[in-house]
Amino acid sequence: MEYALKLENVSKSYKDFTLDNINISLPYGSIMGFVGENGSGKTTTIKLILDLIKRDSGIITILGQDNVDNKNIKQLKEHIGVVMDESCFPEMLTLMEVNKVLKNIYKTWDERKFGTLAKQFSLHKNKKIKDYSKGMKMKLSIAIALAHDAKILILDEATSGLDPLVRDEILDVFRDFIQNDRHSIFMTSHIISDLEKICDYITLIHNGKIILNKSTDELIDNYGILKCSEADFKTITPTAVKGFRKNAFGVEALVIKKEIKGDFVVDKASIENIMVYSIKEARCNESTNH
Amino acid sequence: MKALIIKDILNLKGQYKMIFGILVFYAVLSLSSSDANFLFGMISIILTMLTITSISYDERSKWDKYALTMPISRQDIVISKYLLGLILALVALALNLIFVVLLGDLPVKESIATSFALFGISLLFLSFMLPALFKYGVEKGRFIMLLIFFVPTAIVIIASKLDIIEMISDIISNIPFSQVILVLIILLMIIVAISIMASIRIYKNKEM
Repeated sequence: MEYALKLENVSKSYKDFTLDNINISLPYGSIMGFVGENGSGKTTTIKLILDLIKRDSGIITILGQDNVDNKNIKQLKEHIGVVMDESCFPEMLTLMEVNKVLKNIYKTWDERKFGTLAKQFSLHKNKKIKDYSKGMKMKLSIAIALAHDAKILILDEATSGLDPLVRDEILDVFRDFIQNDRHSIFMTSHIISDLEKICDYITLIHNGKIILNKSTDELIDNYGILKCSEADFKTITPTAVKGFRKNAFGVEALVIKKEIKGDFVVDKASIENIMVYSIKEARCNESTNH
Repeated sequence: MKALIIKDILNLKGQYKMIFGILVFYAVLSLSSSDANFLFGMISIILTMLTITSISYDERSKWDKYALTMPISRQDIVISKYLLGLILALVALALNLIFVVLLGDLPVKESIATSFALFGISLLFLSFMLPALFKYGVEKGRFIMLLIFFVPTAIVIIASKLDIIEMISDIISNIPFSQVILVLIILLMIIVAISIMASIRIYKNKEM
């Protein structure tokens, strides 16, 4: 299979944090959600992909080209659209001036499309960016990402800070973008329900390691939430359990559906359930290993 | 490159009104005292500092990180700041020369010499300042700016105490003026070139 984004054994060490042997493969035409807690290594991974920081080892290819060691890097960047949660255009500029600058940066800049998107997102024409709200800045970044010939979008918390209606609107914009089967999206978000709606793949990172990497359908089909008493819980084969929580009424556990034999009720698991229980389990294993 | 300079010039537009105000104030002041050296100095300082202001604006909006995801190389970003500095120094030079004409009763030769000297000092200042800003950022870079102002002042004071200045001016007065100027220009160009190379090196290794 061909991949729009591929990370092979990518590592990066800091004094107090290590991104350890990351492998990610995003096929063309699909959307991958990259999830994890704060400080788990999501932004570090995105910075490595964008060559904002230097990797210690491993290979990163975007649209089939190396992201660093590449003579056509500017050409490649024409086809990458990026939205970052904190970084934006200098604050004294207005929308028209942003357009003027970007026209001179991207060879593939599409002024008309930018205008249409700005209108759709109701971005104020004469206001300075410093007077934009956080959501407006986010929408501006998204409009910029879509107004040049981007083939892959890399979005770091692009929908956070936006209200549900706008988020929905933006998810539609992303769905539109992905209609072209050479287009792909790699996105992080803390709003898991958004990811569940549009992602084909979910990759879960915890403490600098990838602990889960599956298609959304596979996750939803295979995992379930089991609720039962503590006594019953002990009868279940331990390999079927992927994380659990005890409460006053018994046990709630994330399980592999088909490994549960007998008379149990297994509910549908949401991606959020799967993420929370998987991270709990990983933390549990870490503390027993120490 | 052109885009980055357009961006900076647009981004600094909030400053222009204030600069205009200051200019008018000092222009009137120097008219009444018929000494324009202070005005020339102010123009050069204010315009040179705009380059640093533009870097601090970029820092505040975390622009560099964003710009590097676009078809812009790290080298482009560094060189654009030097070009901006050069453009602003040229504007300062032009303004100073215009004032020489406008204000009339100034010692013309001397005033023109001062204007060009200030142009050279602006470039020299930026050559020391920019690598430090790329390395440490504007916040920490302020201390380095103090150092850049302090060291030459200290040297001049010490030199004047030790009669070195007289020695140097004795030596220089024996060399034709045009040759002194030529040496200074070449020296300045070498310093600017080294500064650009150092900045590019620093910025290429910077983790964003």
